[in-house]
Amino acid sequence: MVNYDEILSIPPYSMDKDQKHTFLTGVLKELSAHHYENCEGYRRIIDGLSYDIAATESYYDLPCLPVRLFKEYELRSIAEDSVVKTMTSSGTTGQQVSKIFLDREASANQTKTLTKIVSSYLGSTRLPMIILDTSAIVKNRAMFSARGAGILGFQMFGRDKIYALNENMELDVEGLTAFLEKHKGEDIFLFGFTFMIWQHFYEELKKSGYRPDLSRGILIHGGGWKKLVDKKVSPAEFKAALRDVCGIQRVYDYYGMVEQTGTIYMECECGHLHASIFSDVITRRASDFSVCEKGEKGLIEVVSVLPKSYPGHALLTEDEGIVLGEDDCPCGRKGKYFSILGRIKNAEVRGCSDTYATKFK
Amino acid sequence: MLPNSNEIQYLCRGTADFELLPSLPKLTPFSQQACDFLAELSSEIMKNPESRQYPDVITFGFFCRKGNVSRLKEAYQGKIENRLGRGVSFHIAPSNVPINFAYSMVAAFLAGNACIVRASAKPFRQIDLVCECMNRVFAQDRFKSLHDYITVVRYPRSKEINDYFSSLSDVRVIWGGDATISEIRQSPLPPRSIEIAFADRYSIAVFDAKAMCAAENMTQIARDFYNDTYLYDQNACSSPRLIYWLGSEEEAQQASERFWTAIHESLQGKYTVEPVIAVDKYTAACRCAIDLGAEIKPWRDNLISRIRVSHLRADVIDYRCAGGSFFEYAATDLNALRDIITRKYQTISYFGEIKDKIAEFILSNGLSGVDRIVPIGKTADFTLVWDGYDLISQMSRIIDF
Amino acid sequence: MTNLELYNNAFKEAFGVEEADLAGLEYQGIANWDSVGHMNLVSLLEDAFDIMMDTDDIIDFSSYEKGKEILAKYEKTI
Repeated sequence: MVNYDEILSIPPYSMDKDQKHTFLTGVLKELSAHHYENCEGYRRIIDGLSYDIAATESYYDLPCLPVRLFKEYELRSIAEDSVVKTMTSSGTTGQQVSKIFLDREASANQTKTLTKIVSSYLGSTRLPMIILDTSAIVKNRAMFSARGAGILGFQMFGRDKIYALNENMELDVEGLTAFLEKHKGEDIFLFGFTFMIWQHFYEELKKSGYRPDLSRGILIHGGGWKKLVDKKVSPAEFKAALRDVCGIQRVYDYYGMVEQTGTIYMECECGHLHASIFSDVITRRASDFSVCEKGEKGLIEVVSVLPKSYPGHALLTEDEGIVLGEDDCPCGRKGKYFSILGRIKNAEVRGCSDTYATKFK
Repeated sequence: MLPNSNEIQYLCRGTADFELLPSLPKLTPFSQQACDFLAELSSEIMKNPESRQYPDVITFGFFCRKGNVSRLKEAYQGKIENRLGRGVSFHIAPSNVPINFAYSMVAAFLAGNACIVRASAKPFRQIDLVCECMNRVFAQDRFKSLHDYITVVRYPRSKEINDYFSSLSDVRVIWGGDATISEIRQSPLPPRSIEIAFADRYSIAVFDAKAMCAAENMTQIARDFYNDTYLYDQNACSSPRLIYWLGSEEEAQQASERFWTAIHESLQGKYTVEPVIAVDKYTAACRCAIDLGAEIKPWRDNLISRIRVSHLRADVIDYRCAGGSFFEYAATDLNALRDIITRKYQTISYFGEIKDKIAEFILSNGLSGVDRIVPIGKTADFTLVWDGYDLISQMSRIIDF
Repeated sequence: MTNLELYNNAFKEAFGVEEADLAGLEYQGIANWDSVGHMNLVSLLEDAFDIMMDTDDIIDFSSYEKGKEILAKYEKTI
C-alpha cells in the first residue's frame, strides 16, 4: 500500500518529468485499485467505462471524476465510523457543497504535505503571523468550510498569531500596530483569501490612511480570482496595490481546492503556479479530453497522491488553465508550471425550455 | 391601460390601440386573406438573400408557401366551415428558439385570431428578419387592412405587461416550459378565455435495428438525426434523449455502431462541444454509472456521449443531459416503454417500418404520454397538431346551427 | 414562356447557375443546392407552375432530370 512517510520525505520540487511520471503512475494506480475495492460509486464508474486499472501505464490514462460528483454523492473509501473530519467547500447559500470525508491518516497527511510545500517557501522556522481575516471564521470547528480549513491549515507556519480583522470585519489598527512594534525587524508571515484581502484589508487601508510597514512580510493567499476579475483587478495590480499601502514585496498566490486539500499549487517568484511531486495538473481539450500542448488552454485535471479516504485522486475540475512549461521555470523548481484562467462559462443552450441555464448553474 | 409602454419594443406593430383588438371581426379558419398574406410573406422571405444564412428562417418561409398552406387547409375540409377565430391571441415564445414565435403566430392567425406575440427578449437576428419581411408585406395596399391583426413585441420580464395582454386575450399560448408557464399564470385571463401551455417535455427515438443495418443512405439518416438533436443542442422538447433499439442484443450492437459512426462523421466541423457541455456530459454519464449501473460507451471524443442501460428505470429521464448525450437500450419488443412513459413524454421519432407498431403500442397500453410519432428528421417540423393539441380547433370556436 | 423555360428559370434563380450548368445537376452537387436551397427551389417551382407538391416528391426531387419526371405527375410536361 502507499507509503506516505516515504513519499513525504521526498523534497517537493525535486523530480524531473520522467521520474515524476513513474512515481505518480505507481502511486495513483495503487490508489485507483484501493478506491475500486472500497468505494462502490468509484467502482461503478470504472466498470461503466470498462477501464482496466491493472493495465494502467500512465496516470494520464486513469479515469478522472468530475468534481461536481462530490457535491451530489457521498463518495468515500472508508467505513462511516472512521470519518474524523468532513470538509465542505464554501459554496454560497443555496448551492450544493462538496463533501470530503477524511480519516485520521488522510487528515494528518494533508497537514504534512502542506507543510512540506509551504516550508519550502517560508523556511522551517515559524514566523510571527497575521491572518488577514476575521477571528469569527474558525469558531465553528464541527463543519470545516474551505476558508476555515485553509486558515487552520496555514496557522501552523506561524506563531504569535493575530487576526487583522475583528468579528465585525473591521481592521484592528490598534492590534496591528502593537504586533508590528513587537516584531520589528523580523520576517512576518501573512495569510488570507484573495478577495477578503482586497475587500477588507486593502480597501480599508486605502480608506483609513493607516500604512503599516510590511516590507518584511511574506503573503500567501488563495481562493481564486473570480470576484476580483469581476472588479477588473489583475494579479499584477493586486500585488502593486498591496505594495502601495503596506510595502509588502513577497506575495504568493496559490491554487487548490477542498477536494484535494494539502496538495496546493504555489506561485513562485516568477509568478507561475507550480505542481509539487505530490500532485500534478493536466490540461485537457474539451473536444475529446486529449492532453493539451504546452501553452494551449484546456480544462484542468488535478491528480494528487493524498486522497485515500475518498476517490478524489484524479479529478476533472471546472477550471481552465494553461500549462506553461515543465522542469524549466527560471525559479529552479522542477515539475509543471501553469496559470489558471478561471471557471468555465455556462453555455447558451438552445431549446424550447427556458430553464436549462438556471438549472445547471 | 398599457403599462410601462417604454419597455416594449415593437417589431411589427399592427393596431395603434390594443383596446380595439377585441372588436376586430374574427376571421374564418384558413380565410382567403390570411392564406394570401402567408403566401406573400413566404415569397418575401424566400427571395430575401439574407434569409439564406438562417435555415430556420427559410424553413419557416417554406412552411408558409402557398402550396403548403393550401394542403394544410385541405386537411381541414369539412371541419372548419362553421368556425371563427376565438378573437385575440397572446403568445409567449421561448427565449432560446428564435423562430418559434412565428409558427405560434401563424397557427393562431390561420385559426382566425388577432395575434399579440411576445418574441424572445434575446436579440436574435432571425426574429427581426421575419418581422421586416412581414412589415414589407403589410405595406402593400391589399394587406394594409390585415395589419391590425398582427403585433410582435419584445419586452423584458414584466408582470404588468403580461397582465395587460392577458386581460385582452381569448387565447393564451405559452411556450418555454414549466417555469415560464408558472410565471405567466400569475397573470389572470378573462373567464371565457382558454390557454394552451407547452410544458417541459422529453422525447425518445425508436430505431429498428435490422433496418438500420440495412439502410443505404446513412448520410441522410445522419443529417436527419442532426436536425432532431444537435441543431438545438438536443434540448428541444422533441429531441430524443433515449435511443430504443428494437432488435436482438447483437442486431442492436451492429446497428448502433453503424449509426453512431455515421453521426460522428456528420458532426465533424459542424458541432463544437463547449467546455461546460463536455463536463456536463461526462458528469451525467458518471451519475448514470453510479445510479443506473450504466455502461459508458467511449466514442472517440466528446461529441457523442453514449450511455448504455440494461434496463429502463422509471426515472431514467431525470439523468438526461443536453448537448449530445444519449441513453441506449435494446429490446425485441416495446414493453419496457410502459415503465418510463409518463405525461412528460412528447415525441417518438422512428426509423424502419415500425410506425404502426409504435402507435398501436401507445394506444393499446393507454399510456399517458407521447403525442407524436414522426420519422427521424421530422421531430422539429412544425405541424398544426402539436403536443397533442389541434391548434386550429383549439383556437377557434364552433357556431353550432 | 414554355414549361422548360419556367423550369430552368427556377433553377437559375434558386442556385444562381447558368443554363449550361443545368444538365446533370444534383442535390448536394453544388454548394447552393443544399437543404436550404432545396426549399427555395421547390417554392419557386410551385409558384411558377401553380402546383402543390407532395412531401414525398419534395424529398425525391434529387436532380434536375428527376425533377422533370416528378413534375410530369402534376401534368406539367417539361
